[in-house]
Amino acid sequence: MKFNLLFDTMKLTLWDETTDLPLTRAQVVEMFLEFSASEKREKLIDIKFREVQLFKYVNVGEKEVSEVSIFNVTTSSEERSAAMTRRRKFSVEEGWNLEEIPQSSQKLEIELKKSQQSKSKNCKVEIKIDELVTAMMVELQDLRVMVHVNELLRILEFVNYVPEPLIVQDGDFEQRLIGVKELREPKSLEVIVIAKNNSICIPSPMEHCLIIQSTSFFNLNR
Amino acid sequence: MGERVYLTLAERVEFEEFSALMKESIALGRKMLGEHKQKIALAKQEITHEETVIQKLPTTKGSSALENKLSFEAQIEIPSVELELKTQQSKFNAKLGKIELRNASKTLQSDLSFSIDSFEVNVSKNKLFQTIVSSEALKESKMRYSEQHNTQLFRFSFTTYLPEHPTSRDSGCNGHIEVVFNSLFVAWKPILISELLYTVTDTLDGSGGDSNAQKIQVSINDEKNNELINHKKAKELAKALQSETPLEFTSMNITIVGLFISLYTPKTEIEMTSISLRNLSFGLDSSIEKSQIKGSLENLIVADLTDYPYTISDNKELSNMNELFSADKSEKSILEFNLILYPDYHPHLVDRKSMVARIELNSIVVNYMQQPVLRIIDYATNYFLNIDLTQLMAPDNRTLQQIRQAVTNPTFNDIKITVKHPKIRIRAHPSLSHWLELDIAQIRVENEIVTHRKRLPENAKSIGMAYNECYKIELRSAVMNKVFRDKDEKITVSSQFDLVLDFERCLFCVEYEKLLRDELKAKDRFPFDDSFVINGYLGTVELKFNRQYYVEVFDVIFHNILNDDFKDYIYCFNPSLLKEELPIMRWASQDERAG
Repeated sequence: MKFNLLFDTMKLTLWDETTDLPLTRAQVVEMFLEFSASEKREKLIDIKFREVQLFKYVNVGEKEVSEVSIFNVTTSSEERSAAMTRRRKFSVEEGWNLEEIPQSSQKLEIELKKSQQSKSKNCKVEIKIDELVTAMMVELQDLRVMVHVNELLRILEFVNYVPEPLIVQDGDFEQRLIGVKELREPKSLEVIVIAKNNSICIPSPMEHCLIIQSTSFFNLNR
Repeated sequence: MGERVYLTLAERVEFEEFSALMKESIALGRKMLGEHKQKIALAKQEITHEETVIQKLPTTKGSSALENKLSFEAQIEIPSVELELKTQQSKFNAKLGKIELRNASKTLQSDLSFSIDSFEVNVSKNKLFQTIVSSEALKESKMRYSEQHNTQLFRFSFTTYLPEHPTSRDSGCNGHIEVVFNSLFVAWKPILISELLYTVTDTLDGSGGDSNAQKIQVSINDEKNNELINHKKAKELAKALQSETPLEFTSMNITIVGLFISLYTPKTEIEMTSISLRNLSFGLDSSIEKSQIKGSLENLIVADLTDYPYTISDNKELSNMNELFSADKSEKSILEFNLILYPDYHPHLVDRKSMVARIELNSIVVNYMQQPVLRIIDYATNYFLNIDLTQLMAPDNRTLQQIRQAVTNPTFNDIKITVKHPKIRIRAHPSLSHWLELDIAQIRVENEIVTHRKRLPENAKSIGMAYNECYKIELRSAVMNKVFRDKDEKITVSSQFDLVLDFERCLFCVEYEKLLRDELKAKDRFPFDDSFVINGYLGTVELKFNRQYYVEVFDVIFHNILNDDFKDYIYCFNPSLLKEELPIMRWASQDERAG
């Protein structure tokens, strides 16, 4: 079986009820998902993104916010710079809606339009599943992160939730559970993350700030 | 009171005048008599209702018209019939309650009716007595149905009209069949059902006397005969279409009041799912040119009986029944369909499409629970859908020549399905009074036949182009809401979005495989690509969550989508199990039929 799915734009906006403002918006543009399963019981999941962005919102007036990009992986450096430096403004509408307030920034728009012609994908996730191994490979190219510590901690606090397992009222369930777990075949997990040409910026109110440029490699074997 | 009144009226007008006069007289009588109102109401009913048998004569005023007089009448009544079928492991016993057969021949028509009051199939295996089919609700079932006692399970009536009969002359209808099934309850115990089906088909197969070569010879002869018959029918049809006179047809009305199927796990025999189908009715008009089936289904309910997520390991009392599939209560019917079937030899087939299907589903509600839903699909594919009755009755004995012919000049189906306002509900736990609901304005499914060589090996010459069926599935204006049952409130948590899916499957896989194996002498299991291909596009979608909704979405993901009740050792279905349980005779033969 082959399954190909193209997502146009997916946005997830998390709202902070204490401030009645959006806490963050995660945005994925042109995500291409490819799934194939062969007769040999091998499954391959390939995910490619054109753009992955994370924004924070700053209150700039009554019911008005400004958008700041804090995490960005895009297809070309022009777009990356344009998207990172762009400060879009939104009015906060009823029902958690953000309505964009149009601003004239021709230079930015031209740069954005130019870069949209590029078809390369800088963010790839490949997952291979067979009977014994689950291997996951994440490749990020030209990653840009603005480390706004406070925002990142608040987002982390918001998303940090692991549901409690369901309480099972079956007396001898535990015993059977052990039996079932023993019967399951051992499976190894392999995760590799490669991030090439990263720029991690720690913003500062001063004239200068710290930018860490690196190529990172992460490997997990279990 | 209660005696039948036979009236003979020459004209419809006369009948109408007569009945109007009677109604007036009754009204007058009611006024005059006052206290006898009740009796008169009954009398009125007697006259206007079916108890008055009107033997209507031809509408034309010609004196030569024949009188539709009763010439012969016979009635047979059998109090009960019992059939017994013994296999090496089990004893099947079918009991039929009062059977009535009635035949009445008139000058212009003949009526045949047949009815069965009750039906029951019992099995005795390993000293255990079980009922698998019954016209009464099954006692061992956990489901409690509101259905009333069945007075008559099955009724079949067939009326044939002579060409002189006004019905036949005016509309071309030469016969009418009326079939009514009342409520029937089935305990689908896959091992027993499979054993019963194999035993019956083996018995019908003529105890397997014919060798394979003989069967092939018979099939070749059959095909030659069919060709001749089809050729003759095609000529008749062309002639009939040219003549522009109304074609003769037979009409049939079928009503199924209720069909209640309980699915049981094999061996452990836990009642895991119930399927209730209510008021399926359809009419079939069949002529030399086409057969048209038009009908509707009032409701279909699929319920999980395993008490998920606290899934039961035995047949204990049901504490919680979860409806997985049903219709919105406000809708009249869940399904409406119209099928037109043309014979393959029809001279005016459009794009070689011999079946045109238009199906409309209204306001279906799906309560999605990952594990029970996947288990039902697994069960259906292993123990329900793979029992191919046509294959059981007539295994594929076609020669390569016949296969090649079937592939070179095939006919196809034209399918259009519309699903209006379906709702998919998903919640973390079945007991919760709030849930996430995907509300879709419309789903449209349309098929198309596509030909290409992408699936075939490059060196294959025996097949020019492979036929593929492509389904275009469009979900329009979908939106996700959070719904509170108690407050009757909805909160929208997503923007409106569309989803388009293209699903492609290869047609004639069995035929292509046989032809390619013969041509390429390929030993690998898959000499060509028969995989399903799905391409999809999802438009822009935005989800908006506060902390509470975020937590609930994660609860749904963890407790519904990813939850494991660790009961797969009971609810995992192995198709080979049915084969293992088959009579030893089956094992001796090298038959590899699906079970």
